[in-house]
Amino acid sequence: MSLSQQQMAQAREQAQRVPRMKGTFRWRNELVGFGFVLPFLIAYALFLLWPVLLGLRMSLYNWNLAGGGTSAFLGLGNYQELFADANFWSALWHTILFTVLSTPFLVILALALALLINRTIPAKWLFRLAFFAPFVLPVTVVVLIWQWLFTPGFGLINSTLTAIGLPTVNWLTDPHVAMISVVVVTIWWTVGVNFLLYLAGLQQIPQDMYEAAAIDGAGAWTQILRITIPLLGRITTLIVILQVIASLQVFSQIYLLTTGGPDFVTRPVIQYIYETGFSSYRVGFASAASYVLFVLILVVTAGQFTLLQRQQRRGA
Amino acid sequence: MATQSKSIERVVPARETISRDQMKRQFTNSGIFAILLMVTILWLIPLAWALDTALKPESETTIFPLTWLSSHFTLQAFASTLSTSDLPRWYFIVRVCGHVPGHYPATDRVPLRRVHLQAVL
Repeated sequence: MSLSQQQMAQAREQAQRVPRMKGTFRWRNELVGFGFVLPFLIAYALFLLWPVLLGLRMSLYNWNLAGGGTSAFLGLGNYQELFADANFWSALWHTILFTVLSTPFLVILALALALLINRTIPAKWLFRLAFFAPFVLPVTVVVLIWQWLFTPGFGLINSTLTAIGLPTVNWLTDPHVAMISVVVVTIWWTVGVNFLLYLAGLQQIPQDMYEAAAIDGAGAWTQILRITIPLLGRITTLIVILQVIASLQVFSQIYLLTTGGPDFVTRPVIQYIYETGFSSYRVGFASAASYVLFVLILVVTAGQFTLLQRQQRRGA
Repeated sequence: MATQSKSIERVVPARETISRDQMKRQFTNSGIFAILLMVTILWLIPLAWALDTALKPESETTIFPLTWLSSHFTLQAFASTLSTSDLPRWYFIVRVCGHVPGHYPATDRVPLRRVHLQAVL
């Protein structure tokens, strides 16, 4: 054991020695490499770093879209006002509610569908097509289709309810139902991506593990619980992290479906930011709200990564 | 030792056990097929309804009680959309101009959007 480690250390030393070149040549080599990265770096600095930093600066001023940039420095005044605003907290709550309602379905349904389809059954292409097809559509088309389905009176869903003798539901205008409708539309629209990721993950699991498990007398359920789900752990973590980030950024489908209504019960925090920024022209205040959301997403993602690392350490 | 002999039995099962296992697997697979088919139909209904509505004559799209069938299916909606709106032109513009810069405001990060909008303004 110690011998092989010694050998490895020697090999590593040798590997490090090989690319060590003469001073000027190495310097020029690095310069050429930097030149190759430069076009991207310029675009990155111009369109990402600079706006992000400008946003931070804006959040400290009474910055207005209709003029009046750096004239009035507020310090943390925007943040103080934001934390005192009940509308901000309710919008943030709607975003979190949407995330909590949508993420479990989008992960578990995707996994269930992928597990079901990963067996030897006919017409696999049809199922794959059906679950992924909605994701190809742009958000406007998705919303148009669903508004048509949700229409009170002659909409397909309410007409079907009437036909089988059930009371109709005001899917988009009932404050108790509107968020559920939004979640349903989102699941229909985006479950295909997670489904596809899970399907790819399933195909990477070597078949002989199942054969070995079958020889040891493990049934189908035991195989799923003891082989499939643990081996999909990494992809599950990836899907959950991406899904939570995407759900916390929810805006377009809600804005198009309900405009945040009825009575603001579906208004997400991005819409709050959008309205303060572009309807009230208070971009400084909106920047402050953006940074609060940014920090929230950062904290949630960092927490998930910490959990993942702890999991991996336990596994190793 | 007892478990070992049991596992060997499972490796080389008798002829009847194979057929029973196969029957069981076929039964499970058809159950799974049925579940998948139901979810698939549920997933395809919105798309099918949109297509169905698109192929109906305008006056029949809002009748009640509604029906999947129509007195006559027509491509009139497609024809009028393509001839009276700027859809083809906008499609072309979006394809050519909107593709690369479109990725920036497409992210929901607000600072980026704001700058993009300022640039457009």
